[in-house]
Amino acid sequence: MKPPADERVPGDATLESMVRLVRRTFPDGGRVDEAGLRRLRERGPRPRRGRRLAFGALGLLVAALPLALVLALRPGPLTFEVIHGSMIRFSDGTEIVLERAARAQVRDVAAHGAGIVLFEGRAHTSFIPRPKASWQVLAGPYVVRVTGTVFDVEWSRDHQQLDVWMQKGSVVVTGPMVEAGVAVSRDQHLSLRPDDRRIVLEKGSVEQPEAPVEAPPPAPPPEPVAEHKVERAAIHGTDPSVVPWGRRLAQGDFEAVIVDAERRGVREVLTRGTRADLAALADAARYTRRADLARRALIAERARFAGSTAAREAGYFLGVLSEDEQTWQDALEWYARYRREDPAGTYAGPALGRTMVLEARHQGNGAARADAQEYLSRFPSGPYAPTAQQVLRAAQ
Amino acid sequence: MRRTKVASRDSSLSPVTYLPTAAWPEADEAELVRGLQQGDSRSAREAWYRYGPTVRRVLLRALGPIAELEDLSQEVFITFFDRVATLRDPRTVTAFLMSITAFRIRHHLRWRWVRRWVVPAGSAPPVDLRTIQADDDAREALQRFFAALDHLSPIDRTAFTLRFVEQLEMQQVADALGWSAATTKRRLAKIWKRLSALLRNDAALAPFLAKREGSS
Repeated sequence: MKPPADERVPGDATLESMVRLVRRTFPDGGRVDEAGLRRLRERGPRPRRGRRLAFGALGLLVAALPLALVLALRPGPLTFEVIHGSMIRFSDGTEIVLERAARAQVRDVAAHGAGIVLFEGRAHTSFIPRPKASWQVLAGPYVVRVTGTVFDVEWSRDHQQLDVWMQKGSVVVTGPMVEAGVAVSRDQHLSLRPDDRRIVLEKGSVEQPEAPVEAPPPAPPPEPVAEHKVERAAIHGTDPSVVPWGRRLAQGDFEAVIVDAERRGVREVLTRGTRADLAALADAARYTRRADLARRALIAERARFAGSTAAREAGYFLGVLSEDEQTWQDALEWYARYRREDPAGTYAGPALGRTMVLEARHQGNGAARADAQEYLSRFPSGPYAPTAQQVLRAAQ
Repeated sequence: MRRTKVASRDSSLSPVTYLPTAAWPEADEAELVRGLQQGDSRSAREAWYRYGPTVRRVLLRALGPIAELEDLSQEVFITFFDRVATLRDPRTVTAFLMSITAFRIRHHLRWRWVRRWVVPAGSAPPVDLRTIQADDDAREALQRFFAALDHLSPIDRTAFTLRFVEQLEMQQVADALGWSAATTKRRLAKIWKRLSALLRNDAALAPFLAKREGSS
């Protein structure tokens, strides 16, 4: 918005643009829901002011004592240098090598890591494993969370495609289609193609950085580890001008999917929509916190496409939804069901990890012990491995 | 009204029960406030659904998509339900809620400043814009904008958001922050000037601004 004349200063078009961007990006605050109201009721009344002041004073006193020590021991941020315009080397030894035509930026440099924004192209990364290390590679709408590892990552801005080739260690990738996070381990290749609603996690070593000029000999097909392929959403008849829901999701335009579904009739989509329709609607509803709609879409997906990978995975996401709504018993049930139905599925690790976390939180570390052991034996470098180790130590 | 009374009176909530989103949509503000003051659970539900999205939007625009958004929204309503008994004129309920939201934003910003010194660097999760803004340049621009907002004092940042992003009237901003009209006017002009200076020469905004100019 333009401020009134008496508040304006010359040359503030940039700020006006930014205000418009904020208003456009956050047009509303999203819907409030029953889970929020329930939490509100459970939190109880505000404590009396006198008691709050007493607690506050005590807290300040307790905090003041170690504050000086904490400030004194606080580590400084990492430093980095750019070598020959294509290599970023951090003071802890971490190196990022950009291929020709790749563009990246370093941001949020802290004591234990930084964010690498990959705008375009491919990068070879080598992160040094350290305690508390916290690194992220941000590529388009995706975030690759790094836990000390060597891998290549490629982001195609034009095609909105992400590829991750793991060489050593593991990462967790989140973003469209993998909102709950997918773990990629050593010698695996993750390929995300939102336009085709396609997620492929396969065995495969790191490809050569530069593609050969001559046509390569035909390669044998990769051995699939887990594949979730859903046909392109045929949701708008034959009108080619309408953007498919999968693309809308990839662009982050979740509201458009919801609006489209409501225009067609949610019941109609749930009973007659394709598997891709239901998956896209469930994702859009989850991203916009419409838990009820997401649940209906996921349940429809399970009922109508029983036996498919997508139907089994819907069970996992129902667990995530239940967890979001604080109904942890339901979440445990859904995770258990998913693990029974698809023990080696894409989300087997996260389902086991979430189960362990919920058990530890609500039933004690003893109850989570078996799952922690199983997690460490199956996913020793998975994202829940440190938690599993903590659970085992506490359960002793 | 004590919130515990609301909770104990409405025992119909359970995870498997379907409940309509609006409990009393036809109630005007006077009826709603009277209901809240008398501990009517239907009014509490209606207030949550009627004003909740607005509170969330103001928090989101002031602070960005932070992980604590839901908690802050809850804090606003806890205070609101706690203090609504002191509200004399029901027509001011929106302004009343806005002043609580403004206070909560300032409180959170102050706490964040303290936390930045106490908690080791790198442990705070970064603002996550990936599912909010898919456009790389716009996302980068937003990051820079929120980083620039971090240079303002909590109360200045709140004032900026209420006036220029939420587009409240000058007097509404003054009421929400407890300033006089003259102070509000003077401070806002100063804030706008400072933020303009911070952003005007930021090279990282260039791709987003170039795209905007290209499309206009």
